[in-house]
Amino acid sequence: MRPHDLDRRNFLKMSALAAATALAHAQAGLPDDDALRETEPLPDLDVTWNKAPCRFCGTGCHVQVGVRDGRVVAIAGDQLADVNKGLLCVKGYHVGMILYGKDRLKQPMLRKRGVLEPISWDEALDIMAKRVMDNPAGFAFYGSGQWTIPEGYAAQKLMKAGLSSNHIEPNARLCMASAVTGFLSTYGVDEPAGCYEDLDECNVLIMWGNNPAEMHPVLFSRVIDRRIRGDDVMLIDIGTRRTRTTQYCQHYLEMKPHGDLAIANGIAHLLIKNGTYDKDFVAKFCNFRTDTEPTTLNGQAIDFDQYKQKVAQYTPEYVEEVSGVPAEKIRLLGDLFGRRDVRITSVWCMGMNQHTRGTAINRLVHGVHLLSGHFGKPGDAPTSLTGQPSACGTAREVGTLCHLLPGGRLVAKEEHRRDCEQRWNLPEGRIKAEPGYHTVQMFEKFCTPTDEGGDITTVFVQVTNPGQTLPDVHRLLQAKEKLKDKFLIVSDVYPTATTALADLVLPAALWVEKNGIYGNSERRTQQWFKMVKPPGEARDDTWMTIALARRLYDLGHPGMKDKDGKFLFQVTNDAGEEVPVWDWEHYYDVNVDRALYEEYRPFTHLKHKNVAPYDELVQARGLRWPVVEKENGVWQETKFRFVAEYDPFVTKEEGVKFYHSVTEDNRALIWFCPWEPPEESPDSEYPFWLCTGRVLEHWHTGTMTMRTPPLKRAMPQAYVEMNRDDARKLALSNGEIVLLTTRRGELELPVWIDGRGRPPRGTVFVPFFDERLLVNELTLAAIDPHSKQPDYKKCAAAIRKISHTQTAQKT
Amino acid sequence: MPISGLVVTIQRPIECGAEVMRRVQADARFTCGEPCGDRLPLVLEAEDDAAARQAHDWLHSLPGVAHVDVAFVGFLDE
Ligand code: SF4
Repeated sequence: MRPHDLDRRNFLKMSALAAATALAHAQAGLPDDDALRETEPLPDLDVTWNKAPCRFCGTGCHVQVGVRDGRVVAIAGDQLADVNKGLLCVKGYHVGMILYGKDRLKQPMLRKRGVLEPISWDEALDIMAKRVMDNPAGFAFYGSGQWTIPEGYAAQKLMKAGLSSNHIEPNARLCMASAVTGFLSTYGVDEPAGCYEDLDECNVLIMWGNNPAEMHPVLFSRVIDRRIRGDDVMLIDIGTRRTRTTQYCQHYLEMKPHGDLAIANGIAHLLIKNGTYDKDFVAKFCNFRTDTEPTTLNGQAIDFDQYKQKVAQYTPEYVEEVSGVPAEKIRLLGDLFGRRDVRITSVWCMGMNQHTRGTAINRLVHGVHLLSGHFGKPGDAPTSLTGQPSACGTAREVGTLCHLLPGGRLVAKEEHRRDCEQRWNLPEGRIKAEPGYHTVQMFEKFCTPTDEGGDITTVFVQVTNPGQTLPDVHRLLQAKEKLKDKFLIVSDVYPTATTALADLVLPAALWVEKNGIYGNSERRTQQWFKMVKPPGEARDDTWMTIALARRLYDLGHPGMKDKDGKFLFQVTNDAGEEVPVWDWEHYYDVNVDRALYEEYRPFTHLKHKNVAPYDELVQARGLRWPVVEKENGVWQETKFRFVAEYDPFVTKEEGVKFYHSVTEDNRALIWFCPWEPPEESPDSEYPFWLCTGRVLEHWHTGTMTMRTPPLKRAMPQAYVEMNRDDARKLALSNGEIVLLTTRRGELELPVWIDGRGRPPRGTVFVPFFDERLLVNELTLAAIDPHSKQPDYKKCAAAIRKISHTQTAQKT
Repeated sequence: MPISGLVVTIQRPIECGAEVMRRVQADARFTCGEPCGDRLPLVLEAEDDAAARQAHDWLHSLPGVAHVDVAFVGFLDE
């Protein structure tokens, strides 16, 4: 071993012991955390430590990133972070490795005669600008909940303020759009009232179609840790298959797909029948609504008696018939919600959102909390979780969805458009009133011949991988290959299923190779600084957007100027001089993230989502909005919204106030939405339910985690999870290859019986992380009518044994 | 050669911890820190990822171990 290696080794050992000791002290509650934080710093040894949120899920854990000689060399859980208190999951503590996969994209590439060939950034920008100038209305921008807030804000401004086009979407449409419509139609404003502290305070935790043991492991460990300490917490899993989460739960309620709607209505029915609903809370703070036929976002007002009549049919026996959950379990839920002496937290994620009745089930879960008064106290809350690190911050708050403007404004509302035009100093009428194409529509239009109405001709994709995540991906993206006038631009860090279809590939900086700001699931805005250089010619996504805008400005596109003729993305230094940030050489002369974020920040005040100033974020491990400045100059975050004790916008006299109420009387809405069968159900030809999702080791499409050796080794490829009885009936054993077929495609996969999850008879599960086995070629593109979110959790499938070989492949 | 900082949570009553401590201290792969209540901080040095995972699983399987958390991962050699 060379001396240098020994030095590194000692450094790593010292760091490891310091981090473990600090975590042990913090977990044991000894000594006082603040004192510990001062006495147990991570060792220095030429290593610079800095904070960043984890790159992966919406939990938003903070890590300490150790950098030495321009390279990330170690990751530790951040002891100062309230979200994770020094803990990380298996993905989080390997997050540094995502930067160093061998096939990082390092140069722009243009497809010539079917092959991607290197070109310069100048050429790439010229090509992009020409595509936009030739057909601005045919240009669409597709990003994600992994866009940082400044990245999303810049993309939003380029499209809505610059090109007068609303054809911009984040992939968050595919993961949390139903949560948005659920919050909006219940409270009149998006995002949860509660926060992760609900997990520390609840007596009952209900997971609706949610597997946090694998998908939000650090949050789940907060609850399990309480149990280890002797706290009495009841865990209830309502789902369509047994998962790792189920193993920890006292009650597992296995439901048929869509059974959740009946279960929620059944709870409401019992609360009323037993007289255990919270009459005072309902009388003071709630109104009632019902879904209509055809369904609308705001439904129809009804009174309590009409509501009572509508839920009356959802007796425990009827709910059992429809959902498959035994009547006594429905009574158990009804009794729990009827109790005043327990605090109940509901959490959910994709199970309720990727659902053709996603808006409805979101409303109903809010409804049972409101009806029972299990709302507004720590531990008593309905809280949606997000899968991506900034689905809340960038997709929902910045408003990168096709119908939104920043800060919860709507493109369809004239006063909101005028307000944005004023803030952006644009001529009146610049922002278009008609919402753009939502995700499924956008890609349908892109994959339809132009002369047949396919009016989207160029799509610019940043920070996401629709070639793997779109449902029915043959039709929604792969079909583009036959259409020669369509042009796909993809910015990414590694080759993906999407770059494989791209005409122009742009190499992007990743995570701590750039400045960034994320907003996690609990309204927490989190900032980090660039720590290492991106490889080769990889550059920031915000820079790409600004550089494209500048090319358009130079070509004379009128939208790239404000009404005083200034460039739309003018950034100045401390002396007030314009910095040419569109020139990469000067991009980091100023902090562009800070400039864009501070421009965006006032937009957040309209809906009382006041985010903290940038300089406050620099000091903190994230702050939960609304963040308001107190008289003593301290910026105060908000743990629980709408209640006087915590929310600065509610007075003591008001107690509880839904200040953006749909009915404009400060009340929330309790909805009735009927159970309805799924869009596609098993039949004699396709006798199985197919459900898709994630696994602990891999994040989303595996672009990063499949390049992290320990994670790839732990879970090297996708599989089809089957029930033992079904497997026996088809004479299948573990590892054998089957052909999984739906009406949209087929895929060869190895069988895993009684593996990670245990589906009931008639159900199979396939994870979507493996780009060699694209399960989204099989999924259904049916969408929720309000949220436009597809349902990846249920469609009809068939299974046929094809061989005994162990190597699965795409057919 | 991966190096990680781990925290072992001992099941209650924490007297079970004595045996866990003895077995971990006797194992050359681990360097123990000062125990803190029911938590034992330690460093794991393993030959490769597979060995690290194996050691992690072994810790998990010890009678008296409730939980193993990871606090730190150094991956200079990956
Ligand atoms: S729970 Fe999510 S945010 Fe936390 S470490 Fe794991 S992947 Fe990262």
